[in-house]
Amino acid sequence: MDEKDLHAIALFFYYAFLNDWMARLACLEAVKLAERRVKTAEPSSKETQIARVCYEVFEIYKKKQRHLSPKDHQQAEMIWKSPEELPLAPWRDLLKKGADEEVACLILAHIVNFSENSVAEALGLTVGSLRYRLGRALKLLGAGHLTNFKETTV
Amino acid sequence: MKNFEVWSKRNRRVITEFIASELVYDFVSERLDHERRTAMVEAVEKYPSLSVQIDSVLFGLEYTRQLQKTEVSKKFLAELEDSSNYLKVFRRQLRINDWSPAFRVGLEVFSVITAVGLISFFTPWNYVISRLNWDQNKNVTISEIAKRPTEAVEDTLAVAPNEDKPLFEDEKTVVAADSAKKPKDEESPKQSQPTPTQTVAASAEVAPSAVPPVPPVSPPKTETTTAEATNASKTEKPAPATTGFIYRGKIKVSNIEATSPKIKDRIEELGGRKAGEVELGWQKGEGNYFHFTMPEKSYPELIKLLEDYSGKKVNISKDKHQRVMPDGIIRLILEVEPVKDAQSSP
Repeated sequence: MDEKDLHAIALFFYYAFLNDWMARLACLEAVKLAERRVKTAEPSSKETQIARVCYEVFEIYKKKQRHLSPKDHQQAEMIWKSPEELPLAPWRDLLKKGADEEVACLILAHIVNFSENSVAEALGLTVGSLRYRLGRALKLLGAGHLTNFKETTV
Repeated sequence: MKNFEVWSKRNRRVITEFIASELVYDFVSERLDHERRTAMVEAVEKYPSLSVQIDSVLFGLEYTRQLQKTEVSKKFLAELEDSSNYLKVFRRQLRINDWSPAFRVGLEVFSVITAVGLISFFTPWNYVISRLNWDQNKNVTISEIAKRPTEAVEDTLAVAPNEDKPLFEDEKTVVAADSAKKPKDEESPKQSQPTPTQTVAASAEVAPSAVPPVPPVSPPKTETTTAEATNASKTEKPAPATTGFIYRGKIKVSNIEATSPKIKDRIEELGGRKAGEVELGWQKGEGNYFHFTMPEKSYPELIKLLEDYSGKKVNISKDKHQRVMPDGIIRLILEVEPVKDAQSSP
């Protein structure tokens, strides 16, 4: 696995949880798992394997989330650095309101930038189903922004 | 197009607000065919809520495009890369760098001591020591081989004329067996060697004067020996491939002039006979040299005698030797030397 793959995994878990500590743990586990899967799989399906591993680990940590989150944990260093002046409020809204699978699809397809075919195959969906989920997630993401925009303008 | 005509009454592809709402993402990402796209444009004009959805999707796409620029620290990426290496993960979880130096040094010392202790405990020391001793014996044997041939030849030459009377019956049997071992040599006239009986007879005839007064060989004994030799040649059993031994010892005595003859007498009383060219108690430097054979059963008495004279425990080494002695007979080389203190005193 090269740096690009590691970067993709790191991005996925950061935006899946928006929690540095959780994202770090999930990343470490996902990389170990992905390393094994990628070794045995064909090179062409590398993206699919990584996407599948990310989604599996995401589901596991989503279930553990309440038990794992430490209250007083402080990250020693900043691992992820979002673009400056980009508010994360819309994304937080999406994480609250959106379905986990829709969020995962959106991250993989539009933030990590994997191809739709790879993501659909990894998640066991048709491309049409994937687009439907992406549409819903994007509407939800934009809706929060527009609501905030309206509130501020009024 | 025909199918389309079936679906539409006016030959136009009309879509409802619900369908248009589901097609917003495909419309924005420009994945619709021309007619559907036209229909969507009409639907957007007709239903204002669709334009809001389109704005949301466009915002979402732009927002995610910005999120792609998120940076991840190089250190964390390196950590992720190392996470598949179990040794590095183990070290990282141990946090060895956070330990105090004193604790680390103590742990290292303890580990080294434990390792040394385990190695010394499980090492087969007996085997190692025996190997070392074997090497020493081997060295001694090598030096003896360089020395022995001349002595062995002289031994044979010297003993052969004197052996009108066998020293030990067993010893003769062994020599006969040796001759029986080489039947081919006997067939060739040039290389043939006389059998022990022939040797004894020849020596008795040729050089009787050279031999000091020795009692004559009794006929029955010769016959017995001949019979034994004949039996040995008949059976032609191969001699066992054995290695002989020689006992070597050295003692120091205070009054060598008086002690050495006593030792010689005692050796003869115990059944000892000189072996080799020189007489028992031969003067060698300041000391005396005893090269002899004797019955093995008398060996403890000899040791006791030597300990009495030397006043301390005698070290006798048993070395490998090319000459094989008969059962019950041993060959010894004993050197008796004067004690220096006693010698220096008036």
